[in-house]
Amino acid sequence: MLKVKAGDLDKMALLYERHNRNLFGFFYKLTGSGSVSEDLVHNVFYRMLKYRYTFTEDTSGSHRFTAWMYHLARNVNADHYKKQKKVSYTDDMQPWEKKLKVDENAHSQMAKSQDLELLQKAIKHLAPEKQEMLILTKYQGMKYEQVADIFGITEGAVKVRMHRVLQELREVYLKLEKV
Amino acid sequence: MSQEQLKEKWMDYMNGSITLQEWESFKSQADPAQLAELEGLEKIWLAMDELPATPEPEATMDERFYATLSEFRKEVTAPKATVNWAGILEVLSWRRLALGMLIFAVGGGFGYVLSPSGEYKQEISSLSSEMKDMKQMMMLTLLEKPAVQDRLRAVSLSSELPEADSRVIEALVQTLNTDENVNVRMVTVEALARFGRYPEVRQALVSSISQQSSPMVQIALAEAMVALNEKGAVEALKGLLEKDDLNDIVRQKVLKSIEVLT
Repeated sequence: MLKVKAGDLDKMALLYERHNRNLFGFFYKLTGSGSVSEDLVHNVFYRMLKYRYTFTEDTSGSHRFTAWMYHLARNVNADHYKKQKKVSYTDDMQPWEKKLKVDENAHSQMAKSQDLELLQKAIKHLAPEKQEMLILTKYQGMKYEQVADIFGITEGAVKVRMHRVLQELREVYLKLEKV
Repeated sequence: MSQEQLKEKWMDYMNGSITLQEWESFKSQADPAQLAELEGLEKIWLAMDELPATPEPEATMDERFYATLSEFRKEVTAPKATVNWAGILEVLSWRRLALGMLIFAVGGGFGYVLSPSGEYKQEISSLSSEMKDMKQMMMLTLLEKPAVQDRLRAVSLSSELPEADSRVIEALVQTLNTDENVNVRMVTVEALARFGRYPEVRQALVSSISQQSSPMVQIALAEAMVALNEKGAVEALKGLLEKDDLNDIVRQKVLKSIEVLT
């Protein structure tokens, strides 16, 4: 990234190739929409190019870049979330599509898929920041130390928050199950 | 092992920071009741693995990125417009610079001469005095309203008045002594204390002490007396102590206030 900052923009293509799938996965888990996630990935790389001068390297090397990238990604997500709130709440159609595809004889399969649907709903009920932390830890395979860097908190605080997030997720899930 | 330590180890295990063997060894030392909650969370954590996998993005995402990158490349390679100071100084001889400065000075002089006169300033001051009158009138009208919110607004409006005339003070004193709402009376104590430089306000606050029955207002008055360092209030506060039904907290507060004032 330091080379990009110095004007070697070709190096940005390397960074893009290395990180775009992960970033897409991060947004996909948050939004549940492929096209929205593609837009958001584009926004993050656009901001990286635009604000490349703000990047500062330290001894931790690539970790620092990843933290910066997810820091931008969180801002992009927050902007997207605000915009969505303003427009209107649109229910994701994907679960319905999936329901239609389910073989009616495969009851157990359906029950499992319903459980997962509930879990997905429960995750959506969490505050955006909590969802982000959960996704980074669970799906992006990040260590607490890296997550701590992105959120600007200590590793210990990440563990405490993550534990609370899981507790909340379980409570929401159980509530939705009863409905 | 404490519950907190166990939670932390479990979080480490879930994140792959410790091995299954290590976790099993911690688990064996734990109380089964402690493990029950973690088992519930573990189920959720493992169920999350079952959620649909992330699909591959469309090729258009890459296309868009490379298009954007090429736009930025163009910007970087385009020659930058730089300011040629040497060239400018060459064109501007010292005579032209002097002429420019002269025009600037003359313009400044005209600006000063034509600037708003005393009349204009007078207009502004009369306008601000009209505003003050309006606020005062609004405050007096709102104090008469039946809604508590209106009366609270009226009292807070009084804080925006730099000076208070006898009508305002009289209205506030009357509110303090007769308003049925405790909140209104409490903010009125504060409002009047702001005009504590007027002797009649101090006097009104002192005589109100014996008229108040609400503990909150009694405390507010005792505090106001201390803040204003009104030694004349000691007698009135002592009178309050003689009341049999005086609230204990108020009694303490009054005793402290008397101590400070004497």
